[in-house]
Amino acid sequence: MIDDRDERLLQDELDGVASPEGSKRLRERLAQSAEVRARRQELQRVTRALDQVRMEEAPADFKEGVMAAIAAAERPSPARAGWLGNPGGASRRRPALAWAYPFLAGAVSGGLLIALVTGNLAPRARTDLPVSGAMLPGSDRGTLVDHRELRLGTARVALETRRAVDGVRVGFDLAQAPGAELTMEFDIAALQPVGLWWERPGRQQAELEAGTVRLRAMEDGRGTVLLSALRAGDALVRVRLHHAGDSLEAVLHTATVGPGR
Amino acid sequence: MTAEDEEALVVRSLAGDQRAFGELVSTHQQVLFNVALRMLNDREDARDVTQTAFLKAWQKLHAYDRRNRFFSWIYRILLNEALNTLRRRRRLEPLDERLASPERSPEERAEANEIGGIVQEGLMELGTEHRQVIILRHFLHLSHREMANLINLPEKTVKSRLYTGRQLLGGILRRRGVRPT
Repeated sequence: MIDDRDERLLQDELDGVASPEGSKRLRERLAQSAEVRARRQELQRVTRALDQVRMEEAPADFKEGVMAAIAAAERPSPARAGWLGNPGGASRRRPALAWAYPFLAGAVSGGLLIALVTGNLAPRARTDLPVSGAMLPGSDRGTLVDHRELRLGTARVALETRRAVDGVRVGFDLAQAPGAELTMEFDIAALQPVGLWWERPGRQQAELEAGTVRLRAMEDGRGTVLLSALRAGDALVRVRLHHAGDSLEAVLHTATVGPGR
Repeated sequence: MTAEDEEALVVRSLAGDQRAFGELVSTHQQVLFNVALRMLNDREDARDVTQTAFLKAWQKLHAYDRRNRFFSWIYRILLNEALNTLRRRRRLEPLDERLASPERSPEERAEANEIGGIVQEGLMELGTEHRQVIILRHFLHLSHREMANLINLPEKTVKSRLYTGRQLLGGILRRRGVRPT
């Protein structure tokens, strides 16, 4: 008859943690009981069988896959996580935003969403102004690729592109630019607009077409344009700020990886 | 790798150094991949789960308590991912299909030195709690105390699970034709 104590002694011996007293007691029990001897044999069989399961190598490209995923998914800072990377989540946290994302995302298939664009769009001299982009909210998805700041009179717009697993995110922050219009143009064979999210919905208008996103703000505002990548390569986003009769352009890189990766 | 070396890599990773994190990946990938493989019995699932664990670790590194070993932290992430995969799998397919071996009987397979495969299948018949402790003890060779620290359970509970797991596995192996040698 094997009792719990026998079982514990046998397993402690197997794990090399039996006390001297326990070992002595086990030797006695093994000498007395065929059942205990059989039980010990069974446990040894289990151990030997487990020993035959070999450690396997991780797949050859395992680390490469991890590092690619890390490069595509920037770590969020604790304080600012979730703003740019999860517009749906943001709208759940702030119900007032709930209309913006699905409404504008749906406009992609429909082409023109709101056509209220006026003013002179003729470009002036192109200027790229390197800035930190630090005023833009952080992202929990996507790696910062490029950033620019455009100043036109009192108007200022900071822009950044982020590469994410599902495409490109273009963040914008319009300040002191009432009536300003911000246009983003890109190659329709490389990028497709899939949505727009305003952080603070207000007196803003938007127009999403193939190859163009046009934003107009009557007050300060910031948000994100989501673009899906249709092919690999560094598709460019040409940005034009138009304000008070003047305009300014910049080009942002996306270094998009395309849908194949 | 010493605890100090590992902490230095974590600090560099927190500062955004992806190469440092890559060294942590290199250090732990094989062990974690094997834990996932033994928990899931599927190389592709194990790969996905392990890669996801590393990605989550990178993204949540600011939440890692550096008083603990990095391995302990990422192991828990990995285990949660593996358990989630098993839950999804249970909804999708009966376990018997995954374990089926239509070509040869267990006895024939045992005689053909397929013990490793039979043991893996036996592990899959165990509950995840018993499977986990057997993996930690027999594949990672952790002590009872190390296992208790890793899975945040009393040592007594860990021993009890290990002993029961071995008993159950012994019965399964016997049914599958693995004879005492």
